[in-house]
Amino acid sequence: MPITQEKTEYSLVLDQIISSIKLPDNIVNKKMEALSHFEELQFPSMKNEEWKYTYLRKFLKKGFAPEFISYDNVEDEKIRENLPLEADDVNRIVLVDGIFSPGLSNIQASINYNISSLSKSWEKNITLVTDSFAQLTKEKNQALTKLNTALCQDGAFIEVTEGHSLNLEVIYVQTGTKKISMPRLNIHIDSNAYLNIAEQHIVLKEGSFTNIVTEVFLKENSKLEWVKIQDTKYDSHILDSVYVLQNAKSKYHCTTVSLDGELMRNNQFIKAIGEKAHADLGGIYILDGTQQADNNIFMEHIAPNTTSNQLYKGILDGQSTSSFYGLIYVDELAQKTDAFQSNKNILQSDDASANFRPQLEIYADDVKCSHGATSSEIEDHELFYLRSRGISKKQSKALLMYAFVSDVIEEILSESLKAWVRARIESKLKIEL
Amino acid sequence: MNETDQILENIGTTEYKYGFVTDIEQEFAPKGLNEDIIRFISEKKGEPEWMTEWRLKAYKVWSRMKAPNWAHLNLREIDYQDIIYYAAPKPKEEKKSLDEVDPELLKTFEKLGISLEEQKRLSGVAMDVVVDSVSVKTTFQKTLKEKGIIFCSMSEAIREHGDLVRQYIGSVVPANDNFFAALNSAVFSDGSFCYIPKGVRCPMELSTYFRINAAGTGQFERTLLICDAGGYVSYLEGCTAPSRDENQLHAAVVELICMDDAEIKYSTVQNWYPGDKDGKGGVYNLVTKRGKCQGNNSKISWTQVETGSAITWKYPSCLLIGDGAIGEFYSVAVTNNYQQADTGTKMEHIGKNTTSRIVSKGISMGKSSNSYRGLVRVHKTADNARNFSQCDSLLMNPSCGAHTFPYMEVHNKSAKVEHEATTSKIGDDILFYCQQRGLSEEQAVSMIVNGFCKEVMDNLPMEFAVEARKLLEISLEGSVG
Repeated sequence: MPITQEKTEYSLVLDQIISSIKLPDNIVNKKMEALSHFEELQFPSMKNEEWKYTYLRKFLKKGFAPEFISYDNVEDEKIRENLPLEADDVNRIVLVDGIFSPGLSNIQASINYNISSLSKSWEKNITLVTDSFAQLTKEKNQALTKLNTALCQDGAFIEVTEGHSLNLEVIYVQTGTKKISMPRLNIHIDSNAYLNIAEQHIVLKEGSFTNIVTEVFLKENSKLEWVKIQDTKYDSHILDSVYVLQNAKSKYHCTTVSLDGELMRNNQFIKAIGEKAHADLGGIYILDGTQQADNNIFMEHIAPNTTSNQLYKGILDGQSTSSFYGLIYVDELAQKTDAFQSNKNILQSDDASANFRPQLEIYADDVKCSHGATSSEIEDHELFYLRSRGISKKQSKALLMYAFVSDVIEEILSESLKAWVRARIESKLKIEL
Repeated sequence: MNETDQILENIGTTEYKYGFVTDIEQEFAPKGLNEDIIRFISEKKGEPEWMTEWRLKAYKVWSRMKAPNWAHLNLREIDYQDIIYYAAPKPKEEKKSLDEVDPELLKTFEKLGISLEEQKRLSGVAMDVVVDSVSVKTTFQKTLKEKGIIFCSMSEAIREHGDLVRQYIGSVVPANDNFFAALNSAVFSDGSFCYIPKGVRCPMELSTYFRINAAGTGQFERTLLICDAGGYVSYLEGCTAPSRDENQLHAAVVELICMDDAEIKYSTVQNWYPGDKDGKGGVYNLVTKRGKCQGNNSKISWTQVETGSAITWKYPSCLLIGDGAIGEFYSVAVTNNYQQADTGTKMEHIGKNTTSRIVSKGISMGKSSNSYRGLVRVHKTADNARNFSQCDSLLMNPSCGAHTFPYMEVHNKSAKVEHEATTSKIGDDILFYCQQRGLSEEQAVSMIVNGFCKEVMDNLPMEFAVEARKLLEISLEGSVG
């Protein structure tokens, strides 16, 4: 067979990236490596165990493909109109189709933290960024993460220095170009530092597809609190993968709220390598129509005395689909691990389907691990209780559903974020009291 | 090393007490697998043309298939051409009574603790004994015949009740179902067949005892059990094998069919040779078991106590097709040394008001790996389906593994599906509580393990529960007071 020298569409995009910004050699190498890896793996099919319930190719068939995105179209005033109001003491990062927008972002200069565009920090060859890039994603065989590593053009680099704290808003804007955008975040939280992120998506037009990858490095006794809201006006597709490396006594707390969007897939790869690291993961998905929400959690306990807690709740109506995959992996060394996982679903329609796979893989003996998973509809006697007190059927149902997910909301630590999530869920459930 | 560690250490050193070889004259087929071998087996058994064709078809399917690798097992690649697919005690003249059976063979049963005579008199268990996949003796034929129950070896059933066999064989586990089922369909040498007619409650426990005896052979038996409307049967299955260095292959298929209001209770105590302390030898137990609850209000209950085999790959499943059908799965799996088990169940809720219950208890010791893998699927048609699953694992050694891989797919809103699983070791506080009340550490461990398995053991028929407890005792020896 003759060897064809023809370049694939993906490597053409990579060529464009390399020619338009100045990348350090090791970034280029990492990108090339990831690309060849992706071309081996290709987009996953349903035969892939992790994608068993997600027909990714169906969504891709709508005409989405990775393409080069110009660095110039990010200062549109029309976009500003669509952004939420700014709070005073909060820094804001706005990524338009994956490209950092300096004009729309609002970053106050400080010695407590560093925030900059990822492409700029590549160009400046900041070693913290270039060395850690793809460090966590390398070992996982995730095709879409490889694709992001290879073809991400921009994103943000965030560093909180020792003992300081930062409140941050991250806004992903999708302009609806049929191009798959590939934002990338590189987050470093130094020891005793604290970062709080409120994340949301703004979609301006139909036809958006984004494949986000984040790498988080948590040093000793640091803390990250993250609330992700996926509540877009138009049908959008969000693939979000977070890779976290937890050192001793660090805390990772993430709540994902999936409300509107055609496909919302959240992957969390957490590795606790320091003693007494703790991870708290929460999730709510409220779906109808043909929506799909996936939550995949890979919680790896590598060091002794680490703990984790997962709580995911979902309400499904219409022809919606949900898939929950939660793995608790306990290494031989990770004695005294305490890990808990729970996934609960309410089905409101016979056309909806809930799929859940809580998994335990345990190689140490002195551990406490458990999981629970359930599915059912709203109990008649609960409805009756409320209706006998004069509340309409619709409102009773809405109230019960709100109560069902409220323990996940309560897990959010920051009061302002909690109120924000509450308001979004109330409007989705149409509660009027 | 404290006392508990010492106790746990001792557990691994218990010898396998069923590891003897019986010197019986055997008849072998040449090693390897091809169409000629299949024709040879079929001819040897005097099978009709349709059966030979069915086997050949299965062989064709199998030769295109690949061995599955999704299980959490470290399975050495099996050379399927290095196995003797047919080994049988040499046929002598027809025997009229037990006295005429080969005395060597009778000794085997005595060693196994299942003297046929004694069984006959005391426990009233009708038995079909399968050595190296050929049925050698079926007891209690006459009593059963009076009730209209057919209980005989598979080869006899193919000859005498061809129509029934032809109608049902492969209807629950088709030949192309999976790699090992296809292999079994092609080369199965014998097994048990049972038919319970309408409205008949089988007056005694039916039982099959399997034993692999000859070296280098694989055992491929096939069990087909049909319970017609309103019938009831409790069926027991036990297994042993001699200790050998090489790995022996056991790939069986069990099919159950349950009509309206019928009930099948299927219990297994599996004690194949697990290999020695260093993980050498042992049986590869690769079994496909499936029951079809075809009729309304039918019920299939699987109970298994798995203590043997180097590798266990086994998922007794229920297809709940009839309205109100019930499926149950109770399992205790004990692994020690280098044993590996990947076992669980599959519940397919298809009919309305179907219920299923899964209780799985895994105990891992030594360097073993013990996994539960299960699927509960509620189809769109299964209104008011109900499932409850519980999977608990007990870890007794720092270097063993316990894993849980449940799958749940719900497509009906009125379905209620619940699953819970826990993994832990015997807590120091629990041990302390028992010792404080005057129990020795050994007694305490034994009591806790027995309590851990109680829910499953309670579901075994009395005759088997005693044996199962004994097996558990052996597995835990050193820790039992």
